Amino acid sequence: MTSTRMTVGLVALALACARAGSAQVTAREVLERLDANMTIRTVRMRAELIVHYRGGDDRTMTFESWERGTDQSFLEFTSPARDAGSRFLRQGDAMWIYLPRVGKSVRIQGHMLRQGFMGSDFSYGDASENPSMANDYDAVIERRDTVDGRQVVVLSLTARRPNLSYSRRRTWVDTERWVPLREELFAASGRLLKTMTLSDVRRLADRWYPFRIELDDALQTETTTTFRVLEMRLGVAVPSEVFTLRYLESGR
Amino acid sequence: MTIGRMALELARVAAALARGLARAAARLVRRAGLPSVLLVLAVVPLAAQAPEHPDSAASDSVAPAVRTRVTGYLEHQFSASRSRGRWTQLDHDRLRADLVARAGRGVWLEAAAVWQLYRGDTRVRLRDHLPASVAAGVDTTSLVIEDRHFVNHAYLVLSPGGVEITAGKQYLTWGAAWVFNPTELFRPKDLFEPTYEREGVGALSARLPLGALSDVLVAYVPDGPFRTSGKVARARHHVAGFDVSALAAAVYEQPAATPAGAASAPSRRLVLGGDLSGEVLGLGVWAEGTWNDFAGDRWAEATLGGNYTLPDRTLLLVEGYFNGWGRPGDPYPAAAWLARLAGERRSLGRFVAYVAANRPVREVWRLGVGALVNPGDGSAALVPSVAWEFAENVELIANGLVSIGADGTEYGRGGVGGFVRGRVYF
Repeated sequence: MTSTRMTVGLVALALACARAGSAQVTAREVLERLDANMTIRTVRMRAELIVHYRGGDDRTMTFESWERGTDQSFLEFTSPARDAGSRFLRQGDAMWIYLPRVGKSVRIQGHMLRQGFMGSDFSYGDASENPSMANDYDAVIERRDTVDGRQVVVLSLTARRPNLSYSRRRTWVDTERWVPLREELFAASGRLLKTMTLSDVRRLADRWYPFRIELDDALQTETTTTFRVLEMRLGVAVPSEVFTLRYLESGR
Repeated sequence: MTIGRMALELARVAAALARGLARAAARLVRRAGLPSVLLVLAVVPLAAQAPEHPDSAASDSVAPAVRTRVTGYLEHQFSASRSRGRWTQLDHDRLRADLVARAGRGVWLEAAAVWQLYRGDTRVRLRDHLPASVAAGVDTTSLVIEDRHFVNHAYLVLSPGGVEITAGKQYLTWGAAWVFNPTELFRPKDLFEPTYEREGVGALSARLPLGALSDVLVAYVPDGPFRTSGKVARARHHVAGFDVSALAAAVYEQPAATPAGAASAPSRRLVLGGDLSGEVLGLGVWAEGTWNDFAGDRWAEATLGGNYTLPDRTLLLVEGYFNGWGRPGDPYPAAAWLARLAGERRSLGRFVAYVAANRPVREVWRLGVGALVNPGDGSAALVPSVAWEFAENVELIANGLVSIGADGTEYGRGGVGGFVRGRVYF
């Protein structure tokens, strides 16, 4: 899955044309289709992030987000009360967080991007990085398979540049709807870092979107995280000033 | 305090604000004349009705939801410390209520009221916080910590023509550094808990955006007559992956009290500085510095820091702070101790290092340890911490403090102590 195609990296995962005809596609064509379909002009979303603890407890955070192109995202948490008003801005690879009770924005940079995003299995790096799959990864088709009764092609991806969060990925792509249904993310050493499962695929306009993502961070063994889209609108007019530091700090 | 009393208190604050506004309006009419006031009153609604986002007319709902939001928390903290062979305790309840409201398009109000009640050893002897050599010559008067009811911040924001004007008690906090912020002029951080919230500053400010990640801010901070009021200008820009800012300020400060307690007139402090943050070779790095001119003294302050996250999500932070005002080692003069005690200076020593490690452990626990080290006098303060996210809106924090070093060194006289804090958000 192109995991970082989510609002502020969390949303808008891979999707593809509804057109089928996948039997003879090459690995590169699969990536290009994913990229082409993920280039969303604008999206507005309301979603929740649920952190499941092994002990049985859950923490649910709700947020609203706005995204324009692949480089601009803005996200504001609306609940719970503890996190309400926390806001994030992403411009390209740079990311900032605004802490309402401190009244200050802080750059999230360097290795701090490896920290869990609001305590979830997603990292800030997941949220800020937005690779072009076709440009940033070399791919080979490992095999063809089925996931939940759907035909998929399993791709093995290797990073072309060193500063990506994941050096290797294995992705199960639905070859009818061109949606990733599962992804494994690896470190350069080959160690499995995260496993992602995508489901509740819905059609919006001429695209298919996964409305539910389950993420398990192999290094954060006490939790798993569910990302669930509650509402999504494509092609909305999002004012430019939303993606500014001034807006981040004032929320208006 | 009951909800009813809270409401009563809020009503009293609102009434006081209304009376204050009425008085201010009367003064304005007397000074500026009625036509000018009417002009201002006419412009404000016009600004309020102007579209906030000209390119979003197609859909009003695409902008982040506009709402009135009331949040807050109730905090209880128990702290204890042992210094000079004596145990003291201090207990507090803190209730904070935050309000964010839209008064019209382009007009916003943000405010927070805090009620804080203390119990325990509320009488603090200054000499307990000073080395023996200095304490002998200091006024033995005790400081009494009293219950506080205050407005943490309360400001109005107008956005006419792209300029954002903020009037009222607002946040004027700057600096990329984690602990030592030389560019922080008004509300210095608690070095032992740098992420704790701070009060706003009564000011009038205007911010002019110059692109998505650049802007210029000017602020006027009334304090006594115009001459002794603070004036600040700050510009920031995002360039080549780095956030860069420059700051120039003139603020008036009381020179540190003498041991005899003699007060002197405020003097102007000129500050020129800036900060920078970004990424170098995968490491998050930041730098911040100022040049200061105050009451005949001129000195520089600078901070350089970085962070690194281990694969298991342990966050490591390192920060080095140079304070040209400080001394290479002890003994430190009494005035320096008093200035530091009053929060006017960040360190006694010329060099201070801060190192910290922090990592999540078992579900909702987070363990951390921080250390402030003064290599000049060989003292250090260790601050271990445990945070437990007890429930979705409940958190518990326990912090410790262990002082290492001889009496008379920067961190050597703090003894041992710590606190346990519970906070429930609503």
